[in-house]
Amino acid sequence: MGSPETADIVRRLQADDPAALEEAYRLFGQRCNAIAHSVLHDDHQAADAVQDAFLSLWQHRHGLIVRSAGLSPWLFVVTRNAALGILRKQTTRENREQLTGVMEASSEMDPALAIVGQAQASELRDALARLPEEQQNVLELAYFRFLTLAQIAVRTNTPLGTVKRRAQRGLQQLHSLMGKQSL
Amino acid sequence: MMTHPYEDIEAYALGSLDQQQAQRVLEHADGCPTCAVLMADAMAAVHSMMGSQPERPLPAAGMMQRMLRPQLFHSTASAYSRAPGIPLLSWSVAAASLAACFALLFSNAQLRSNAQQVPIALLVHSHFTHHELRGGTGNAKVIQATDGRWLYVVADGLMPRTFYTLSESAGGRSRVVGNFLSTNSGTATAYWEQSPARIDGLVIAPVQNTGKNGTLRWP
Repeated sequence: MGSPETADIVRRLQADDPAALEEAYRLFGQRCNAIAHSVLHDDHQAADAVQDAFLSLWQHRHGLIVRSAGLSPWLFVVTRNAALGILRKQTTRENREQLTGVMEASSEMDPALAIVGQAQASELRDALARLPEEQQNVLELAYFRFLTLAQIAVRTNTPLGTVKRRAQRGLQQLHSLMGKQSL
Repeated sequence: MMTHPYEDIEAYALGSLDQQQAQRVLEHADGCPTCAVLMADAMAAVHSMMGSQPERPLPAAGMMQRMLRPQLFHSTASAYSRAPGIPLLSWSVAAASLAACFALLFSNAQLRSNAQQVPIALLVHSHFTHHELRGGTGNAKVIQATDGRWLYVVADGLMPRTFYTLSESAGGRSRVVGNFLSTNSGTATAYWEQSPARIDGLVIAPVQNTGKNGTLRWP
């Protein structure tokens, strides 16, 4: 569940202690902001996504996931989802195409660089390269190009169920590879 | 019958579901031990993809203040429900404005909202409990400092533009805490500070007899 400090915050959140939320915000707010900003490229929208994520943490403080995933994985994933929700809500189809085009052009050489730093990008790239090509494609389109699995299914002309299974296996395998590399 | 969204768990963690689907998966996994464990693994996988995140300072423009607005506090009271549309702070401002207009129009001291401005930081840092008031038209929750020093009312479904009185009982004695005015849409928030008291009963009732059953009670 993470460090004793974050475990304590989770315990206090579950005991309905609002000060624990503030502490979580102090510990993780700026990193959540970096994640949201990497998706939205806008300070105010990123701040909105961070706010959504922390509000969601408070609303889900009694849920099982916060306890089993730990604070930072939960917050980072939920922040990213909140940012993607904002992006998808306000981006028209044309804009999205443009945005995807920009993403593709700006990170053609290494999409991982658009999201993480140089050192992690190299590690991530190595791990992705070891996945079967179809799993690699799905993860890249989902994670780096911000497409939904339904959009990936259309774009790759593949049944949605197949895309879901590729995402599932790809992510599991990637986790195991990244875990081994970091040992 | 419960269906486990096994195939959507990784998609959630990757951010590849639309908002409605994402919400459904998160809600389900939060209450399902099996899916919570799968989700925790998927989140850990995405977490490892993210690497060590740099920090990016948040805008100075009161991020903390916005986060700690009454909306958050409302979610404390109504467990898992989020204030719809207008933030509660706006409701509070609207209620206070309407109350002032009403008071001027009718020049009736009894029909003046005496609710105070909500000191958000104080609320967030306090220990509190909340009580659901039931009975007549509408729903209300009264959030109360553990030591009884303050009371905060969040209500909806009330009769629109109606003055209500909040009364409390402590040790067999009743007293009026104050009046507040519901908005056009029947929502209301109000806050009062008072001497510490161990409250054992709360009643919200329309100030004037409207002929409808508008009284809400706890317990």
